[in-house]
Amino acid sequence: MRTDIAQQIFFLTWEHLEMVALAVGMAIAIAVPAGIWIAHNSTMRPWVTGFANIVQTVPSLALFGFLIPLPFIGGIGTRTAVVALVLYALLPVLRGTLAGIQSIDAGVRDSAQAMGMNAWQLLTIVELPLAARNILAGVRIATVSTIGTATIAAAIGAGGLGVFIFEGIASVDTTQILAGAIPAALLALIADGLLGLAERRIITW
Amino acid sequence: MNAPAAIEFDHVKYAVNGRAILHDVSLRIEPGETVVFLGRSGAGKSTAMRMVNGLIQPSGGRVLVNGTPTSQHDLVRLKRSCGYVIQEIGLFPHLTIAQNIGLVPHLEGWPPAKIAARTEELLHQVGLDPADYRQRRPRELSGGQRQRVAIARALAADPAILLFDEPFGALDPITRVEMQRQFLQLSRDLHKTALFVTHDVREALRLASRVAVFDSGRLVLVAKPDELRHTTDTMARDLMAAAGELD
Repeated sequence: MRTDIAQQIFFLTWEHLEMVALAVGMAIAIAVPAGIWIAHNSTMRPWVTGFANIVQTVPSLALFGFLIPLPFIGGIGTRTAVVALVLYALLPVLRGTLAGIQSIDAGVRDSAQAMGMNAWQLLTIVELPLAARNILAGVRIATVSTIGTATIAAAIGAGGLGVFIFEGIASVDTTQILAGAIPAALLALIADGLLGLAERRIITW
Repeated sequence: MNAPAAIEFDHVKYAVNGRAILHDVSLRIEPGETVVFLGRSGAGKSTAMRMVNGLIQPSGGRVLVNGTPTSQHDLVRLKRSCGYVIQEIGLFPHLTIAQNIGLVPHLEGWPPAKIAARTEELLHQVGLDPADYRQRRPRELSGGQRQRVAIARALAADPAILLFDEPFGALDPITRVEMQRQFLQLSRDLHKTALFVTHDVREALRLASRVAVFDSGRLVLVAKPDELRHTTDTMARDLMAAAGELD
């Protein structure tokens, strides 16, 4: 019985992690290029940040609900959950990327331009390395909040640690709620610590 | 036939959103000269200088470098043929001193060994010990040391023209005089054509072979430092009097 529960916690934690990693990975793949784009395009900037802001204000349970009837991305299960989590994770990464690029010193930009760098060289040699601190900070916030939000994904049958929490709520069983909540909290703390460590390793200047 | 001027401003105008910043500036700068653009903030000095390496294009008239209008130059080539030093220094904070200095040679595709050798040579030239400074980051250096590195970086690919935009403006007075001495030494040794923007009259008199005085977007006077001390131009006399440099 005991090993049974341990096994189940382990399995759901793994499922939870997979969902979070996939969602944050996809959010990075979308939000970093989008952030770079709007950093250089002031016309699109309010539209894109506006979209990300609005998504953020939709209550998570409602967003999961909205997605279920949609074709291709909707339905019951992990796919819908990941889509919702990606939408939530966009804003911090987008903001981090934008802030990072915008905070680059005017003198640095001027020097880079006077060196005749093309847009790609400017991006890879100057902008991305200098924005890395803000981008990583955004990724860190996105990861921690996604670990929390992903517990709600169980409501649409996506699995993860939320399964314990919802079952626990249904049967008024505090122990079972904690079996989901404690591993989720630990995951968030560990992820935050590891990303902080990575930040210090990557950014040495 | 006359040899082309190193830099020539030919009736240059510049306006942003209908606001005129430069009015009809004409000036010939010969190879090897150090011309200082002197004037108050907002007089148009930096704007004029930024046209030489094509960072901006004139709204009217032409800027010619080696006889060719900047609009017809390959802009990347033009920019890299000008070493550029600014007050904000603009070193890349995430790169080491050696990487900062070697960046233009790197962009030009030099082999690493040649870049390393050139970096050593330049650090020596600006008075920094390579063994000590090569691997440091800009934030570990003092303002004066950073500005030395910026000068080394501007010289890296051996540009024909040097552009200095108030480079010593943020330095303390002693470091500033040191850097001026360094600049004179380098311009004597390297025989480059140099443009130097400043609002400091003494700095201008000290460094220039000729001083070009700007006021409200107009080039009001071009004179050798000695002539400037006896000028009859009201605007130039005001500048000189304010600095206590009037005879």
